[in-house]
Amino acid sequence: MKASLANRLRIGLAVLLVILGGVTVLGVGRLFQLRRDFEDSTSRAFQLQVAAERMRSAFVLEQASLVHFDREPRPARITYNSAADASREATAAAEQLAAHDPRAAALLARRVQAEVAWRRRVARRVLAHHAPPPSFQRQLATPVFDAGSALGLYTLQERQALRRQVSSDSRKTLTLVLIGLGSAVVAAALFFFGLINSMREPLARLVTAARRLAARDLGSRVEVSGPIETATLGEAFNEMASELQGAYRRIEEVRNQLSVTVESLADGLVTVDDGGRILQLNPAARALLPEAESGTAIGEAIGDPQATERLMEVIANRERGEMPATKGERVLSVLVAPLGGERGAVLSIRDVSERARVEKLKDEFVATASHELRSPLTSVKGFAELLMLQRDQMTDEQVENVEIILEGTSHLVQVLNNLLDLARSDAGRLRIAPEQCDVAAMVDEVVKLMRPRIAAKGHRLQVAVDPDLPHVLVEPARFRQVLGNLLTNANDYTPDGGEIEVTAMAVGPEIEVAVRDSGPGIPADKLEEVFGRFNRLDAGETQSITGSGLGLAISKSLVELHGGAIGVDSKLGEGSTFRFVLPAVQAGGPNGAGADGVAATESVGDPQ
Amino acid sequence: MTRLLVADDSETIRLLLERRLAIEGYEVESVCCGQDVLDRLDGDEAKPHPDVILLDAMMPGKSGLDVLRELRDHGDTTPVLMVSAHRQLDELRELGADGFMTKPIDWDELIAKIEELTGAPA
Repeated sequence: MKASLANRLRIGLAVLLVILGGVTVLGVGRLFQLRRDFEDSTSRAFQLQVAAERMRSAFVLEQASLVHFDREPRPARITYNSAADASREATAAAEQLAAHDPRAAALLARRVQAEVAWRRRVARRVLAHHAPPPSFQRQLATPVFDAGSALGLYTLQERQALRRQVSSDSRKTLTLVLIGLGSAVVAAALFFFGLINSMREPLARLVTAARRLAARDLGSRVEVSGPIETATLGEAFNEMASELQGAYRRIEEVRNQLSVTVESLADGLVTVDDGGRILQLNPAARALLPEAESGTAIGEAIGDPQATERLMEVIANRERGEMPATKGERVLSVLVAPLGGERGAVLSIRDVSERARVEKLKDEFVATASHELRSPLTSVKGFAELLMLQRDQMTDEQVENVEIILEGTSHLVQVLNNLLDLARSDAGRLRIAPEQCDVAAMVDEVVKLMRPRIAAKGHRLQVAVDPDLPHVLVEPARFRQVLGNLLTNANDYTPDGGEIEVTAMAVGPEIEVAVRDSGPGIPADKLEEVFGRFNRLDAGETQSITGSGLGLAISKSLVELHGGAIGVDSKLGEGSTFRFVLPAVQAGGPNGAGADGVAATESVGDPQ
Repeated sequence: MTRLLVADDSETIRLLLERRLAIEGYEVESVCCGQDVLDRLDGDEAKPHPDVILLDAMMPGKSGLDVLRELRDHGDTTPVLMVSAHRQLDELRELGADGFMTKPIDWDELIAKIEELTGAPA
C-alpha cells in the first residue's frame, strides 16, 4: 500500500520526537537517581563519622572520669557511667550505620574490641579497687583512638570515593543520552533522505517522459510509482498524454482530409505570404501556373508583374476580393482570401478562358444576329409603310393587315434594340453621349408621343413638372427611352380607364422623375425582380402585354450609366410608382425655352 | 430636285430606298458597294454630283466607314448620312459623317436630316 508523502513525514517526525523525548527523560531520571544515591551515601558516611566522633568524646570522658576516681569516687563514678552510656549509645548508632558497609563494620568492630579491652583491663580495675588508673592506661587507650581515627579516615575516603563515583556515573549517563539523541537524529536524517529519494526517482521519470512528449513522442507514458503524490502526478500525466495523443490524431485526420481535398480540387489553390510570394501550390495550381514555385512572386508566376501589386492591394483591404488576370491566352479568375494580420492570403485560381470565350461569342452572336435581323426588318417595315402610303387603294381589312405587320415589326425592333443595349451593357460597352438637357421639354416629347396610345385605353393622364428645374446631363434619346418604358408599362398594365401621373421635381441635388399608375400593383415579393430580365408581371387575363420583358432591365442600366438610380414603390391593389433620379447640373444656365410642361392637368381625350 | 446617292449591299434595301425616297420627291441613284461609290464620284463628270450620300456602314469589301474616310481624305465634302445597325457616334463624327441613321429607317427623321443638310425641301 502506498502512503502519502505527507503522512510519512508526519509519522517520521512523531517517531523522532518520541525517541528524543524518551532518551531525554531516561537520561534526566538516571542523573536524578545518581544524585539521590550519592546524597544518601554521603549522608550515611557523615552520620558514621559523627557517631565515631561521639564515641571518641564519650571515651575521652570515660578516661577523664577515672583520673580522679580515687579521690572523689562518687562523682567520678556518675560521670563514668554517663560517659559509658553515651559511648554505648554512640556505638549502637554507629553499628547500625555500618551495618551495610563491611569495611566500616570491621573498623568499628576493631574500635569496639579495643574499647572493651580497655574497659576490662583499666576501667574495671579502677572501679573495683578505687585505685588510680594504672600507668599503662595510656597504652591501652591508644588502639581505641587509632581505630576511631581509622574509621573517621575511612568515612572521609568513602565520601571522596562516592563523589568520584557519581561524577563518573553522570558522565556515562550524559554520554549515553548524547549517543541516543545523536542516533535518533542520524536515523531521522536517513529517513528523510530516503523519503526524498523515493520521490526523486518518479519525478525524474516524469521529467523524461514530459521531454519525450514535448519532442512529439506522443506514446510517451510514465510508470506510476512513489508516494501518492508522485503517483497521482504520474496518472494525471498519462491521462494528459492520452488526451494529447487523441487530439493530435484527430487533427492529423482533419489535416489529412483537408490535404486530400486541396490536392484533388479542380481549382488552383495557392497560399502566398504578405509580400505576395508563393508558399504552397496544389496540383491544379501547378498545372495553371507551370512557372510557379515556392518563393516566386505571384506576378512572376502569372507573367504579369502588376498582378503582385493588385494582390497586395486586395490583401491590404483585408477583405475577400476578385482579381482578374491573364496568363498568355488564358483568362484567370483569382479569388483572394486574406488570412489577416501579416499572414498573407489564400488564392483560388480558376481558368475562366472558356467562360470568357463564351461571353465573347455571346456578345458577337447578339451583335451579328441583331445586325442580320435588321436588314430584313428594315425591308418588311419599309415596304409595309410603302403599302400604307397607298391605303386609299386598299380595303379596310387589307389596311388592318398591314397595320398588324407594322405593329409586330416595331415590337421586334424594340426587342432587338433592348437586347443589343443589354449585351453592350454586360460587356461594359454601352456608351452614352450626355448633354445638358431640359427635363420638362423631354417629358413633354415623350408624353406627346405616348398620348395617342394612352388615349386609346381611356386613361386620365396628369403631368406635373416643376417649372424651375435645373438641367440634367443626359443623352436625350436615352432619357426618352427610360421614361417611355415607364410610361408604356403604366399604360399597358393599368386596366382601361385608369389614372397615370407623370411628375418631375428637384429633390436635393437631384431631379426625380416619377410615373404613378392606378394599376394592380406589384406583390412585395416581386418588387426586387421587376428590374431583372424577362420578368414580365402577370397583368391579369384581360390584359395582353406586348413588352419584351427587357425594358426595366435596360432602363436600370441606362439610369445607372447616367449616375442615377431607379426604384419602385408599390402595393397590391394600390398601383405602382416608378421613379428615377438623376444628378442635376449645378449652377447651370437658365431653364431652356421656358417650361413646356408646366404643371398641367388635361384629359388625354382632348384635341391638341 | 435633290439628288441622293444610296449605297447598300442589300438589293431589297436599295429598292426600298429608291421607291420610298422617289415618292418623297427625291432623285435617287443606288450602288451596291463602297468601291462603286468612289468610282461613281471619281469617274463620269457628265453625271451630276449627288447632294447627299446615304452610306450603309457595314458592307462587304469597302465598308461605309472606309468610303467616308477615303472621301474626306480626298477633300470631298459631300454631306454623308451613315446608315447602320450600330451606334458608333463618336467614331463617325471624327470621320466627318454629317448624320447618322439606324435601321429600320424612320422616314420622317431621314427626310428631316436630308433637308437639314441640303437646306431645302426635296
